[in-house]
Amino acid sequence: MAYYRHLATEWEEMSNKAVRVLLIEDNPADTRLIREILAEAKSSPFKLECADRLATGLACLAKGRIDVVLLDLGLPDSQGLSTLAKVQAVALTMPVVVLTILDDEALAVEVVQKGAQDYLVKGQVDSDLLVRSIRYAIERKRAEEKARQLETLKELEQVRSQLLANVSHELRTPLTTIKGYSTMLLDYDRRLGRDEKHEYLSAIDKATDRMTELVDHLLDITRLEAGLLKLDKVPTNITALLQTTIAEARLRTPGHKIILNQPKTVLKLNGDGRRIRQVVDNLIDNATKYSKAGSTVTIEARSQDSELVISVADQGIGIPRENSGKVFDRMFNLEHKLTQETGGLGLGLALCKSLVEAHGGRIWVKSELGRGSVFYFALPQEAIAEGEAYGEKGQQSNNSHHRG
Amino acid sequence: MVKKGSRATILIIEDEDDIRTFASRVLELEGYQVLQAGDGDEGLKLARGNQVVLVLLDLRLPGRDGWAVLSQMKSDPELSSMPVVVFTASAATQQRSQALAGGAADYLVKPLSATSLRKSIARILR
Repeated sequence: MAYYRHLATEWEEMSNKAVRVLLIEDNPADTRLIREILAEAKSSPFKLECADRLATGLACLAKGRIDVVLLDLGLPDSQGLSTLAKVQAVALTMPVVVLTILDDEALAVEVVQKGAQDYLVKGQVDSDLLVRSIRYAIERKRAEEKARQLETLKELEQVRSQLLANVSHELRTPLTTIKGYSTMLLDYDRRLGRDEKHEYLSAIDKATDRMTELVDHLLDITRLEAGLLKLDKVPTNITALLQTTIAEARLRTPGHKIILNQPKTVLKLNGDGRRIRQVVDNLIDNATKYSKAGSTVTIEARSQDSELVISVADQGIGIPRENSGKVFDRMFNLEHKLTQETGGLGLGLALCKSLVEAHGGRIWVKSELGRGSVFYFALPQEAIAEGEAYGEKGQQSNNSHHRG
Repeated sequence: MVKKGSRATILIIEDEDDIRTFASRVLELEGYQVLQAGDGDEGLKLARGNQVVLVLLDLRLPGRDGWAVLSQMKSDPELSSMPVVVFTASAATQQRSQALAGGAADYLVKPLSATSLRKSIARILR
């Protein structure tokens, strides 16, 4: 009941309130005609704004306060279907009715397929038709938006259930080590040698570390999704951060040759050192995971056009061209066979993307199948006041903790 | 329990080193001889001509997975009578019935204690 009452109220509001129409049309005669029709429309009031160029129209759209766009595809500064695309790029959820002089059925179909809500042929537009078309476009767009939101929810649900499946598998692997070795130590205590017992106990220890990492990783993902992950941005010494990160990566994967190339001058930026480090760690782990032992992983950092660019290059299996745009996509990695085979949650790269974007940066990959991949990320380097203290975030306090 | 000198051979196909070591060591301590394979192809190779009495098979393997190994074994006259114990991280009922219908002798869910592993193998080889 409440739902219908809500709908009825919405409809009443819509009927009483003036519909704000933006007409993007360069022909003064057509503009005058539509202005007259809308001014005379008795059933409902319209408020019309006009633009005779696409640029003016887009500027008006950017300001908001428009309910529907009447769009001529042939304008001085834009022609054809790309005119529609440019409007959609600025206002994706805006209902659009396309106007044209051509009575072209094929174009009509195409315009609607590309997301316009309706199509009117100039010269055949009368008052009833125009008013109905505008109303219909608004309602249709609203329905489309609801359907789209539902689709997004379904997708999110799919991501969640696949993530749950991967998490459960990933937790079971170290759990199996812990359960297996500990019961073996209990059952065969007297028959196991000292060295052997030590080997099993350290495997149990490593398995608990792996589980801790997984839990941390999962919490980060959840926080990011809920928008709860707060960056702690401070002036950060990236040169030192990379040195520490790479030294630890070498210990973690002694089978790979890990090289760091960075300029002699100290690189610094305003950022969350812990999170930047997490991105580098993830990219290095990714590189070693998909390349053979003995191969080289090269990390480079440089300052360029007020951005700090860090790259991680491997000599691994590479990424098929058709997938290079999808590797940062959650669902792609969650479901991909490679994730199932090589283990991991499948969310490392998606997490990197979120962390980089949270810093206002961008991340991308260049890859050649069979030759290797290079992952890049760029972070904006805002000016850091001269003489301001900087350091690897939290390093100092951590050290004193250790000493204490 | 199998006596020394007449040690029956069990083949373990499992890609996770720790888990393979655990299963092999328990079975060795129980008096079996153990062969180890890290993937499906190597496993199928070792299953022939080694007088293997039982195969412990992980379902999630790189390349040819455990399901493919199971169906290959069951359609091969030389291997079809060899009991296969499936060893998996998935507790899904549907997978269990699918594996048993596909000819698996038992379906063990990870994590697993030394006792459960020992008991399952002993029951099948009794």
